[in-house]
Amino acid sequence: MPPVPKPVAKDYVPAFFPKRQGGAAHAGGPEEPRTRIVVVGHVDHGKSTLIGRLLADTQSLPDGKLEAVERACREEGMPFEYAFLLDALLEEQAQNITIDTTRIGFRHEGQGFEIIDAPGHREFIKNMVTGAAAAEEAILLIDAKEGLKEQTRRHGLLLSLLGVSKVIVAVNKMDLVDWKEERFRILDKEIREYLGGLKISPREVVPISAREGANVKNSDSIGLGWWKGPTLLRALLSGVGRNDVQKEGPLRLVVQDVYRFDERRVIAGKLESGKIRVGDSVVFFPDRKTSKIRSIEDWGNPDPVQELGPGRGVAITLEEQIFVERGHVGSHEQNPPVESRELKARIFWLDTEPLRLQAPVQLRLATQSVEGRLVSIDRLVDADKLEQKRWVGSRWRRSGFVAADPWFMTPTIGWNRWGGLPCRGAPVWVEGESFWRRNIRPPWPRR
Amino acid sequence: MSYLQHLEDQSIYIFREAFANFKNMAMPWSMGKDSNTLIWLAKKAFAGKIPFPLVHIDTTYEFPEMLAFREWARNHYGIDLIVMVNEEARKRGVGYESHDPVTVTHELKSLALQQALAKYKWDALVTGIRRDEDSTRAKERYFSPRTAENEWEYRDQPPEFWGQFTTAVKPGEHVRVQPLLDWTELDVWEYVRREGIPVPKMYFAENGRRYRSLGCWPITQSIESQVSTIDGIVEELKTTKTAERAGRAQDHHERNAMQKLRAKGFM
Repeated sequence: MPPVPKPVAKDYVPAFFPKRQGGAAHAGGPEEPRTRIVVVGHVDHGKSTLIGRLLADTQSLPDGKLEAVERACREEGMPFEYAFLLDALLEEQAQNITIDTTRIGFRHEGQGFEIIDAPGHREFIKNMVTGAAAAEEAILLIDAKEGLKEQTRRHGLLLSLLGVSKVIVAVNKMDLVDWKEERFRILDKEIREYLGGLKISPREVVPISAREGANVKNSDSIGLGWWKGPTLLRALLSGVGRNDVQKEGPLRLVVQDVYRFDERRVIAGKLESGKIRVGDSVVFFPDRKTSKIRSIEDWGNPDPVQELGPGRGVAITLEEQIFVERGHVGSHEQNPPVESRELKARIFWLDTEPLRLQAPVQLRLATQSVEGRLVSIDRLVDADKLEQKRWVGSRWRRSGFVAADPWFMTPTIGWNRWGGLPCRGAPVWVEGESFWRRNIRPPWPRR
Repeated sequence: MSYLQHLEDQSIYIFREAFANFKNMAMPWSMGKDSNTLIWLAKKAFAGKIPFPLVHIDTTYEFPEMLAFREWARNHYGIDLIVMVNEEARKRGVGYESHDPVTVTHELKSLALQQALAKYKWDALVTGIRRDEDSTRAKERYFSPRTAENEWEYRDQPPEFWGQFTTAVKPGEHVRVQPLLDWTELDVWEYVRREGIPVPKMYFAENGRRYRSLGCWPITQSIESQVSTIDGIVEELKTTKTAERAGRAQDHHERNAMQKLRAKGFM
């Protein structure tokens, strides 16, 4: 035990007051975009080794971390296993599997990255989807010797279903095929063909050996002397910045809540797309009541805010005291959202109970929540095999109108089995712009 | 939009989703940098008013400087603060003088929190944990349910994506709402600097030592450092190879100590 600390003096000032740098208006500086990358591939094609290699080569591991992994491996009676860096649960280490998704950050050449390790076992598919859905980019690993396997194809399909279209393919274990260029070219062609069928065009296909550290951070002049393309890290860096596509588009202010903590009546929400300005006329759907924005509330900011853009959380007060509540959607008079009783959706059913036609479910779209029913099924993909099984005709029907259109098709639609265990919810997303054009109620009352 | 701005907006969204969906929330508050960032974000989310109480789980082994900060902040922000001590365990003689740090942490933090949950019947608790602190926290959800026994069922976590969260619980259960999950230690300090958030003085060097992570005094080590400004902390973090919680004894008491603690209700 260290000595008991002394009491503080009566006039002790316990707080340190940093000088404010300008809040949200403060741009640039050390703040930087961070790219989230999910690593997928067939089991034993070298996922964990690659993640370990990326972290080690970029010197992102704190002191003692590798030693701790070595100790854990010894206790489990295993040779050194990079996977233990991320598979932190005892159950994962004992069985050498990944149960739940993990994220770990690293930095390279001033850029921040976050690696998402998602489980591949089919019983953990909800965890895999949870991990992969957060990714902006994917590394798909292929063993140079074994080539494309069932899981390689499944994971490719999963990426396309989740809309992760930025993919780098890494052909790993090139050392095991004597670094042969012909072998790489065959796999390059094969994987491009397969992903092409899923409408994914890989940004790069690169040969590497994660174990040998070849062409991950450092290019390899001996075995891979024939390779004129980028290293894996270089390929990752070249994609940075392209993620930061803000949805400009029409105004979609999703209302989260209305607060009356003091004399103000504050509408709190998020700008899914578009901009707001003080003085703008905003129409709130589905009630179609209109008011001008009186103020944008920004606690902690000494300067009044006049305008906010897409992606920002907002708190506003209105000129008119119109009825607004959670689930409403604010828009300008031009380009209002469309409303519909029916929608076509692509869903992941992750519940343990089967989904049944006509069974009531809770349908969530951003902060809107309504009861809905599955009317018909169009196309079915087997979650175990992640293979397309069959095609039929399909539709969803909902009670009550909901504002819905492509501006919030992703990533804010979810749903739950009605009245079931809320923790086992199953998200859904809406697909296809063509649907919106065909199935909508006239978007604006005719004057 | 900068990454820090993205993190702020996301955290505010999480705060509001929690408040809209739960009836009886509270926010455990440890006075540290993450806790103070949470207060700041909550003030922004709710336009200046924090509409739920804060809870300090007082282990009775708090640094006097931190208790002084607690009283200062209570007054400065006008927060509704509940202080909770596991008196029963202290009467039994549970303490660092006689027990190992994992046992004490469980008894004086996790069980004290459980007693508070039983008393106040909260259905959601806002925590300041981050993925980069610990490899089991790296597997967490933004909305992470706990059983009636305050346990984390890490083998079977709910799916969570696209901004839809687990927002309903059965009686006796609660959800941990974790707005800082995506933040790193560096993000927190850069945000503290950007916004000018008051933090405890103990993070800044005095006589060549400072605290990087703050907990109970018997098991919290300071680090060697000359840093006395936030710019200095930011620079130090960019080059350090030492883990943030290296100076927190309960984490390293045994292999997977954090998993065991967290499965039983530790944050």
